[in-house]
Amino acid sequence: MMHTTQLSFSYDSSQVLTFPDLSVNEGEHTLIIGNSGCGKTTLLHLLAGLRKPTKGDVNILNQNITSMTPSEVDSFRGKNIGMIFQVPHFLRSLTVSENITLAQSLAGHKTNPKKVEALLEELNLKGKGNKKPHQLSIGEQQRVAIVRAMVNQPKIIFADEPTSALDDANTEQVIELLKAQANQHNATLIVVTHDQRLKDNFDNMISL
Amino acid sequence: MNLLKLSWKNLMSKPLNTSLSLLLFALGVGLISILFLLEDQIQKNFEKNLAEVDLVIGAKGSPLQMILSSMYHIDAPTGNIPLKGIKPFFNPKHPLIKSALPLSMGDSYKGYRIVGTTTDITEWYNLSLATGEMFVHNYDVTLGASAARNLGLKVGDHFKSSHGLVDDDGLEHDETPDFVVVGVLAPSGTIMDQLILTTPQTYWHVHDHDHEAETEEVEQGAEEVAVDENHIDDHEGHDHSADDHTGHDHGKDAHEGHDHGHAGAEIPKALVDEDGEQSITNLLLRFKGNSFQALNMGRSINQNTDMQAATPAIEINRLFSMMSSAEYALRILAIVIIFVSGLSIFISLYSSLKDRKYEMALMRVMGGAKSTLFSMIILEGLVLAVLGYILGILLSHGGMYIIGKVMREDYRYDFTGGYMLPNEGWLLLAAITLGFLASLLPAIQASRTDISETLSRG
Repeated sequence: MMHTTQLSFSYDSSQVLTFPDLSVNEGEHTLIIGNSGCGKTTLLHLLAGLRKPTKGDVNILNQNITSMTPSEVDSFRGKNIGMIFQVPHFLRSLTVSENITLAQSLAGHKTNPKKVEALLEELNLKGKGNKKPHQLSIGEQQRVAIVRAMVNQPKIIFADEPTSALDDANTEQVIELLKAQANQHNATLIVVTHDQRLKDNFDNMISL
Repeated sequence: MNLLKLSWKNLMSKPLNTSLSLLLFALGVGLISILFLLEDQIQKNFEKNLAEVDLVIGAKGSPLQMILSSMYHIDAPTGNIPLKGIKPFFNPKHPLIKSALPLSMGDSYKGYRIVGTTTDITEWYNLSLATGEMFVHNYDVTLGASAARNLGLKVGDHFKSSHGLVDDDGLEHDETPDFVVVGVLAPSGTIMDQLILTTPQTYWHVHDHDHEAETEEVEQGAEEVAVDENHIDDHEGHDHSADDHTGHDHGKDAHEGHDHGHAGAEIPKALVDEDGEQSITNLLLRFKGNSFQALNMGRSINQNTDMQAATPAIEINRLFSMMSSAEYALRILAIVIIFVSGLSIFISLYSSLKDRKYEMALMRVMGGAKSTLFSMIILEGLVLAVLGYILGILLSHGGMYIIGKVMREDYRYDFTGGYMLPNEGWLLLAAITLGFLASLLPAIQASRTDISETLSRG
């Protein structure tokens, strides 16, 4: 469902990042682990189409996203990829629910408040929909970010260091929640991290 | 969650910045719009009262003042002129003059000006009666529509006039007979709506009764003194002649009228048949055609007589050109304010971009295209501009409503904020353009947000 070939990227000519070819099958939740500075985030951005590689291709769902136009990539990402970041960010001017419905409309879907409501309830966020995101605790915010990543039924979920700011108990909880949600919505979870604690949670692991 | 709603929420999340931009924009738009309204209505008010008057004759003084007082009933009259100097202008066989309309002014009732004239005035201003009839006898009055409505007078009502053009009980002509309302005019949209019309002879009678007021009149400006002395001599002559000569018996009749009420009021003679020593305030003239001789007539009157002649079109143009420089200055000010408001929209959007950089990147991650971000920022600028425009228009039309009220009270002119001008449509277009331009650079900046770099920095 996702594979890369001869992927490399350079910010300038002196420093070239090359990545091993990756291949992930559908439903195979995968951990990409590597030390700080080895280009993990860059790789994730290449996979999600947020950057164009200097060389090589990224294929997701049998489509070569490297050859798409920028707006095609934006639209493809909105429909098929959910993203979760180390620190959850939201649009400050919108409520929790509005932030999630925004994800629906930006992906070109109809907004569906009932679905948003159900997802919030599923992640123990009942009644938080009308709050502003910054009024929630950091744990709640991370769960809202998961709802936002899930709301468009993506085929693939990229998580960038989702646990590095959390303690052991919360780390376990968040990662199991991510996996459970991914399973429930038939999505493949790909986590990029330097967090060694996650090794035991994944069968597939790629070291950079 | 459409873009417009998103833009709106973004604006509302910064209420102070947004209201400052809105306020500035509204002030600029409001100022320009009120200038449009004032210009339009002043021009309309002046134009509809022109009544094809080619020349105004009156006592020497400021020609503009004479035009304003005789045709627009704004300023005080320049003084009076004796009948003998103007009798030839009433001759229907005059080679240049088509018609002449006499005006006597200086008295009022509760701030509404009383004008002594002939019933020819209906033809000059296209007047028709709503109720009753035109004045026939002395002390008969026919009221303009607004005057009747605002004074609460109807046919058959009585009142006493007062000397001067301001509402002052102390100057009431209380020795004179009552004026009797015999008719009310239909609204004409001209200054006639605001006047009280009667015969010129009524003025003479009223002032015959009121010597004290006459003496006060003498104390006004030097040129007026000459005229007023004539006036007083003339009145004294009347008093004698009323006793001695049958030829001047109308003064006596007036006394009788006073004693016995309205029933005794006489039907006045035509002005050409009146004593040449009597006076009126102004004479309005219409020419048979704008010949060279007609143009020369004004100059000849100014050079060779104690009277002055002025052409309304010239004086009004002079007034407009005086006003236009003030208007020009105000317009420059308005444009500066609008420019600053555009700048304020630009600065507020541009500085908000820095805070919202991560939000922009997030929107891209969620599937938003560059054009989505571009449109969102442009929409924010447009929303500000359109709201500012609406606020500005409300401000100007509300302001015009208040100005209109004051103008009605002070000048008896109708000004209104209750309509839109085509120019205000152009103003909307200009506002939208400004909103677009102000948000263009921030929008380009937003669409160029480097998502990957922004997200990496957290």
